[in-house]
Amino acid sequence: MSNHQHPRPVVASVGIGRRYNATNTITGEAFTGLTYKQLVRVIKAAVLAARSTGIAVDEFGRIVGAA
Amino acid sequence: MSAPATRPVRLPRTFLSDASPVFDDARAYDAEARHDDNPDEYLLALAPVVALIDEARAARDGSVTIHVDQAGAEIIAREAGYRAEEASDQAAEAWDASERMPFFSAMNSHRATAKRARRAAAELAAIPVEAEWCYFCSHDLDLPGSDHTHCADDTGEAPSAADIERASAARLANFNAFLAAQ
Repeated sequence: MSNHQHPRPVVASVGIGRRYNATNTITGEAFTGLTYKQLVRVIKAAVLAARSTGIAVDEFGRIVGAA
Repeated sequence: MSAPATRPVRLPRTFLSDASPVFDDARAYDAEARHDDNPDEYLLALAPVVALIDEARAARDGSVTIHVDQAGAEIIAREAGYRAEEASDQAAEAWDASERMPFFSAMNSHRATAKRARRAAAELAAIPVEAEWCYFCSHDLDLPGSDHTHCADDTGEAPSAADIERASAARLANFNAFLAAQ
């Protein structure tokens, strides 16, 4: 993995074939074996939760700073 | 159920268009969200893909590492093989065109195309995944009932593992010779 800085996603995901493991990068909550639809739902929930705590997140689920 | 065995595969930036299953999934889900008129999820559907692209942009060599199981590795290896071959063919054709049309603008344009295609082919050829398909016909070697006797070149015999290895090495050597000659 690169050590260079890049936008941090609210949910980092890893594709395993057609299933995904995901981790909420803010809370550390982890999910395994998600379908893509479930992954998007996890991202959506994480984005809403992050925004509710004052963290700015862009439309692609990337943390862009404190609100 | 135990987790499937996975391994990391480093993909060059040129591969980040549609080879990984994540791109297919993203496109399908994006289309579904649009069909359902679910605007909140249009863009979030692309979030995992955007994260991959961001990582590739930030990497010094413009590559990104994804983790795949055996099935995923085979999909990527097959796709990389096709693309490397296409890029190599494209480079050769562009170079030929530059020789046939030695007008400066056309020649430079074709040679630029050849250069880009060669770079893409070299990147794709370097993807460190094990290929398990026939180098003669590019189909899976272990498909039930698959017969590769028709794939052999002059001998008419089915390629052995050693044949496949030799063909792979020869193709790589030809490609390297082509690059060196430019």
